[in-house]
Amino acid sequence: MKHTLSIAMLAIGMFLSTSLLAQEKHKIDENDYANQSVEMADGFRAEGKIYVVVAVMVALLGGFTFYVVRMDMKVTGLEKKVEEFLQGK
Amino acid sequence: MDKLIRKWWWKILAVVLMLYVVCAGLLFDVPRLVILNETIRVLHFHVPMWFGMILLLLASVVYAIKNLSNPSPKNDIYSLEFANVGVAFGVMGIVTGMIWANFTWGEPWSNDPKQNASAIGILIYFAYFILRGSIEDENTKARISAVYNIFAFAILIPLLFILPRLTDSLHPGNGGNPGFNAYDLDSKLRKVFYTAVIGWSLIGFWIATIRIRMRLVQHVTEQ
Repeated sequence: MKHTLSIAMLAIGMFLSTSLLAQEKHKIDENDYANQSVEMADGFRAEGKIYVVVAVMVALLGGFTFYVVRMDMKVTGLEKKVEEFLQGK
Repeated sequence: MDKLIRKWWWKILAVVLMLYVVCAGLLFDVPRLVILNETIRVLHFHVPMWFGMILLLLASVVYAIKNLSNPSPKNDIYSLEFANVGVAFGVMGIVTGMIWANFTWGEPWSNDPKQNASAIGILIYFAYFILRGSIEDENTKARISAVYNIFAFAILIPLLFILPRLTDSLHPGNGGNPGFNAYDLDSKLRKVFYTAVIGWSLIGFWIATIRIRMRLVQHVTEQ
């Protein structure tokens, strides 16, 4: 588990550093921000951007749910192990 | 209870309810009130903390009484961990309340009777954990902390629900304030709010059951 985590961290770090190195190609300026011909998810920012807040909170809820589910499953595994051990005795 | 804490259906229900609360709580139309503005939506997140806390602490005191009539490590573990998560909910309630108060009452802490009383209540429960930590013998620890738990809950109820109503309070529903009913009568708010109370409480119980099961496994392995 620790190994996979450190490998994943390393991979993320390398990915981030390559994107930093490849920056000199195209300079971003104001026109890029004002460009209306490119379709963007503008609807997501409408109505005072409340949907962004909703997205953030749903993401948090999802993340914590995942976390708690993992803990729950881990405890279930431990309980099974203890039960098997007790039966083996 | 032993079987219920290992079932999935109510945990899934909790997540579904919370998903509804987050979306509906932020997007549904709310009454346009001065000073409160959009912060009225905090109702769905701040107040359920207290409902969740009371329910968890009630569960804790039930297991404390059970432990006195029928002493067992299991009852003690249930009682301890319900109290643990209940207090965590209470701390969240105070913190969210302070943020809300900062923008509606003008300052995070205005020595409002309900604010002070809830702070005292939380401190009483902190003492519960300190008391537990200070006793070596497991049986004595379980018995004394169960008695303390009952006293703590017995003082918490008047602190939160009776004393603040006897004086002027900034909290709605207390003193000369325009009751909780002002929000409560609004059927749209009520729909989300009650869902939030159930959802948050279930989340609290879920976390508590994980802690309980961890302790139970720990208890078995220690023997």
